[in-house]
Amino acid sequence: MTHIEANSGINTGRNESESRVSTLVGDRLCIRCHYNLCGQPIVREGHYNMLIVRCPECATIASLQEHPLLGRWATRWAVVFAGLWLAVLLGASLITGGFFYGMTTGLGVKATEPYAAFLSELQTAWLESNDSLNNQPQMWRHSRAEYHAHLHDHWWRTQNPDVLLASVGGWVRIADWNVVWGLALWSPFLIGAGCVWALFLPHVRRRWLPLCSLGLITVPLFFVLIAYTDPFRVGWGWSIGDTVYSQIGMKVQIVALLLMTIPLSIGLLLGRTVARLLVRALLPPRMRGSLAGLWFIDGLQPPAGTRVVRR
Amino acid sequence: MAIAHVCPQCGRDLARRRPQLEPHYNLRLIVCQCGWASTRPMHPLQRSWRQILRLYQSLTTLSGQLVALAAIATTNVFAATWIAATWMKDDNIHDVLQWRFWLLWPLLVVPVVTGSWLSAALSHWRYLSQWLAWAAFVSFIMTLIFLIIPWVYAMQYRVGIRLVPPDPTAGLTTMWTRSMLVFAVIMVVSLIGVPLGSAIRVAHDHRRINRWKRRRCRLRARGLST
Repeated sequence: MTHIEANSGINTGRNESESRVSTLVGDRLCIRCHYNLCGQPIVREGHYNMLIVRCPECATIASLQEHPLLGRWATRWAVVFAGLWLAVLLGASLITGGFFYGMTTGLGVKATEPYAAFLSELQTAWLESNDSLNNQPQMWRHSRAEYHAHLHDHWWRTQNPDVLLASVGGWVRIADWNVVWGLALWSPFLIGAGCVWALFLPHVRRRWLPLCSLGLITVPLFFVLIAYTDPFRVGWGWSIGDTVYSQIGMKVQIVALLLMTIPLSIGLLLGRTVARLLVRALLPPRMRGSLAGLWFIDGLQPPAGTRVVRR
Repeated sequence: MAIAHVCPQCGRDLARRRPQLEPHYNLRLIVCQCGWASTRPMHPLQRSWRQILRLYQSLTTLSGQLVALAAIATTNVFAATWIAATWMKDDNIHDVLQWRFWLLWPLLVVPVVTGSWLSAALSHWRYLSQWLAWAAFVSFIMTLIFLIIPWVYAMQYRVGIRLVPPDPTAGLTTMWTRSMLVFAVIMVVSLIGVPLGSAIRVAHDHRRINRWKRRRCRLRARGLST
């Protein structure tokens, strides 16, 4: 006859068919009230013939065919480690994004040099034709033809930036697209970064890994778009370089970031294969067992054969 | 004492009983008074800790091997190209070897280290495939470098970092051929390092086996081994 408590759902009754078989001699805490069950009788319950121990304090049943639970701290530590791993991944994505942003910024600046030279020539012509500027500070005359030359406010306010850009054929024509070849110089680094990220994301299936390259360029793309939508930056700046970068350079940078996904995807696709190859080549079979996950994540069988211990 | 172990048949608590190493399957076995035989289960924490230790050992070995691979491959490529570059200057290998004795040390030290490392650390490879793979790997790296140098120059010229266009006929092919010849010599001399590497491997294996034997003796003394 079993009695069920009304609200708690705990079986507090004792089945008459239960037979005492032994006594618990080890330490085992009750999973509900943490009472130490050492010394309690081990009984075989009547329904499933399982071996159980009943807590004398709260009547909660402890199953004896499995190890005692690790308590609440096991879950807490699991949460802490998961959070740490997430923080490592976020930090790594920020560092990767920072590198990508730095690389493409250099390319964007380099691509705008022809348009900067065009604007510099126009400004120089305007400065030379305007006699009233002869009494202006020396900086206007010393830095007329440089990329970082100061942009004269009076002249720039009389110009229409869109018309100026259209007069040279638009941003696609005036940008120096040869700089995109600079990405080829960085491609070994990008492929390497993709290989490392393929190992950082073991839960992602191989066919979805190339899409992760879009996720990796999200951080630099975000920074570029913030700068692109900045009203104080777009339009004109203190120098010709700033101005042309906000007009053309950011667009080139976005194109370069999108092109970066190609070597990144190659690295992401090759990463696990390269790691497996290295493990096979450099580790003896008896040490490969703990790295078998590299094979399991892609649904492959780990290499057969273990080193026989000589006697 | 085990944290928990109950006989599945009679329910007797076997936590205090010491397991015996079963000779056939090499399992830690406990036979209850009721006749039911069961193996001593390992606690999940203990099992996880052992897995972590095993993973740590594998990762440290892999890292060490990668560092050694990078260092030895770089030294091989550097030694081969350095000697080839000197050979390019004097254009007569006999004069080079006669007057530049300092060139001989990479021809002796590098191969000995390479041969020892190949024999000691990559002993799970077969001899022939090991040497062929190593020769192919270093040759590939060297060829890649000679292909990349003019390409990098061309890219830098195209991007605007360099102002002078690269000259593809700058003797790179000759230097590559001579580097490969020097590397072939290094590979042959590497055979000197094989006995040393084999001795290191045998000593390491003996140390490991002796450690295992001592552990087995200890277990046997406690009645936990056959």
